[in-house]
Amino acid sequence: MAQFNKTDSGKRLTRLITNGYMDNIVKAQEGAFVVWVAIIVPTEIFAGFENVIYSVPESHSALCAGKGVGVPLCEKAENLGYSMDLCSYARIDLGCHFNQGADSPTGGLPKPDLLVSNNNNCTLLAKWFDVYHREWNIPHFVLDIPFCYQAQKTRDMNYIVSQFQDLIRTIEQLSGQTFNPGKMAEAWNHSAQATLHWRRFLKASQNKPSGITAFDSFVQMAPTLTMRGTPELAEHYRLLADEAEERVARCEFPVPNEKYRLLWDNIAPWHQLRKMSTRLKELDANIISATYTYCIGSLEGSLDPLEFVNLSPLEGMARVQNFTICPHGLQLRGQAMKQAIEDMGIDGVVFASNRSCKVYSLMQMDQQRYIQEELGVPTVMIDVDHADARKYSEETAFVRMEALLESIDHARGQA
Amino acid sequence: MNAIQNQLEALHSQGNKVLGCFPLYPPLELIHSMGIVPVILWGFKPFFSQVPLADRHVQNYACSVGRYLMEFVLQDKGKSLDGLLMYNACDTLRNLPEIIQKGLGEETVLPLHSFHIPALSMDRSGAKEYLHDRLDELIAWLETTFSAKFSLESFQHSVNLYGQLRQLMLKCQALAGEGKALFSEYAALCETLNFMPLEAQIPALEKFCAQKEANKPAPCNARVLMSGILPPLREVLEILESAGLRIVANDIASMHRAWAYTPAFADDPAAYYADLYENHFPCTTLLPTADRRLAALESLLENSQARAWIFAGEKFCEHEYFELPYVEKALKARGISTLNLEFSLGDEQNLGAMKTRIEAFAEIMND
Ligand code: SF4
Ligand code: SF4
Repeated sequence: MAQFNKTDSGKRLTRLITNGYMDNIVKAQEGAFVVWVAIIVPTEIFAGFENVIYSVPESHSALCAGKGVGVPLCEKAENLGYSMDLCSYARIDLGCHFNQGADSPTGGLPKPDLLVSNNNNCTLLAKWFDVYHREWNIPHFVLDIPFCYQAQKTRDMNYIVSQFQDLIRTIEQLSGQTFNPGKMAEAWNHSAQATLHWRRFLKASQNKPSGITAFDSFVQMAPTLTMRGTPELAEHYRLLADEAEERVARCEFPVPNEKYRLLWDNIAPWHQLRKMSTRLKELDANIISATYTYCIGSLEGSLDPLEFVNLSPLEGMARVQNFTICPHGLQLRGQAMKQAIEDMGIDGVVFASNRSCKVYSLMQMDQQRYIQEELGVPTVMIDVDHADARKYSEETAFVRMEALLESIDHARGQA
Repeated sequence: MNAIQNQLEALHSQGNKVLGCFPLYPPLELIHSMGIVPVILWGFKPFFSQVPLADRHVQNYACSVGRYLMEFVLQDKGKSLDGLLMYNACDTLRNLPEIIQKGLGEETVLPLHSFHIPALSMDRSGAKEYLHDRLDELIAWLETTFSAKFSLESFQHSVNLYGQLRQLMLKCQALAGEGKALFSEYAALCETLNFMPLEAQIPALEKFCAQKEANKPAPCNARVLMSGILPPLREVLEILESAGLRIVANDIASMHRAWAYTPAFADDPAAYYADLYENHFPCTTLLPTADRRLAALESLLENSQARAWIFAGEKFCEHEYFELPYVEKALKARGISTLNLEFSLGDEQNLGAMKTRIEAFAEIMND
């Protein structure tokens, strides 16, 4: 099982996350201006205000799925008429918030004063937030982020920056609070620090055997979404990275007899973290890294840390609109995967085809061919919805993953 | 070779440069003004019962619109198209340019350009300037790729022609609403027009209007409004019509949504398109128009005196399905009956069940 649940970092993470959700509820009750955001919205901007807090529905949906309430919440949304084909994060969220936070481990999220979405992770998200915009009559600010098939162009960065400036003005008007750019810059620095430590943490996967599992990174990425821009996040990731390095130094490995080093492509299977990692460990297999988490703190098509020299905080935030893997196209994602395979000594790739997430999944067939045929690395594709456990069959998935391990053995035999 | 490929090949052999566009609202006037024939890559359903080439590249949970268009482009291999133009609309389409290029392989050179329409109101800071910039880039790409030249005079001419086309489209719809034409006939006409040059589309529409105008309006009580991305297969429309339902108005993306708004000519394409996209008839795929959608539907219902709403859902289209519960609830609250139909690849094999549902719905309406 992913080890960081039991470690100091695991315990600290639970505390941070729980406190984060609870603090938000209290602050909202005390009159804070509440924003709901899509995951890549630059939340450092909110730190420039005295009393603006934010919640991340996607992250909350992941939490619900991880705690086993994804399916009942999806069903609630479906009963309200939302199609089963819509992203399960959205269904969980709608099922939860149109039922007053029912079933959520946190009691839901404090009701927003403003919704801020963007179309770079996915366009679907803007449609999802539009549902609340209409039902609750709450303003919805959409950030239009041109998709980059290649590195971001300066004109795109400038366009994004002008929208950030618009967002700042909008919040000033709606909240009556004055924006302080110095506080935002400070938050931006904390984020930059946090990502450097995050990358140091991920480096533990380069060791053989790997010092971490991708499941650790799935669990530990949560505060990147909910606490960006805080010193607490930077400090947490510093300790997390230290701890990972110390464990490697002490030769403590999550899969001590690691025989197969795998790479995961797609969002985490939140409802399967424990089961999947345990079962893989029994096979001496470790999913040591994931496209979903190694992209944090890097730019398009590369695993190298972000470089922001000569960029203002708003420009830096505009650049990182391309920082996750989802907003990457086929070519950039393939490039980053190639680097990951080489740097981490990957033996095989698991493509998790996810019906919920078209942006992530609808290129995997070509990506798989590229990795398998051009890079010569064995691969497998399994069906996993990240949050709707009804769309996953453990047995079918493991039959395929075991076949992947066999092909790795076979390839080794031939080498 | 299917009928669409025949039509496109004919266009080609007449010396036209053909630009395949997706999805539905590319800057048609601009492309046309540069001597290029824009064709929107939809309407392939009747021609492909299976999509083996697309299936090699995308999972079966991509919408059929995306899968059909891929199948067409990959089968065609640049035989009848001289280039591809796509713009940002949805998460499925966003991935297609690179996948199509992979699928075509290195031996097929089919120039492809990705255009970005700001997904926000043109009043937001930077939106108009950004659109301007992207249009300049598009013009430069068209000039280089097709050895064409942009001129304001030609643009104005094309804007006028498209203005005529839009008016004729609305007239055809009105004739269907009055019961002088069948909606299925009009939809079939639209399907063929899409693969013709504009200069042939206009007379074809005029002919249709002239033929139908003289008809006596057929009486009908069961007046319905139909929404969706594309009209359903002709067989389904015929089932609806034989069940006594008359589609008197539509909010279909490839039809009414595409043609309902005509911007005035502006001597700057960026100003023209800022107006078009800002004031476009609301479409689930144009984010900034979402707030106007319900009111637009209500006025369509009122003007056409439709008593029911049929949602022709494109399976896996998030843009449509996120809005469905809200629209349905609001319309029901106004006493409008609703029917949800879902369409995907291979529908023609399941028409029986659909027929039963449609007939049951028609019976209730006719009671
Ligand atoms: S999982 Fe995919 S589709 Fe769902 S919100 Fe995230 S990026 Fe969008
Ligand atoms: S039908 Fe919907 S999902 Fe399919 S291409 Fe059109 S907008 Fe995208």
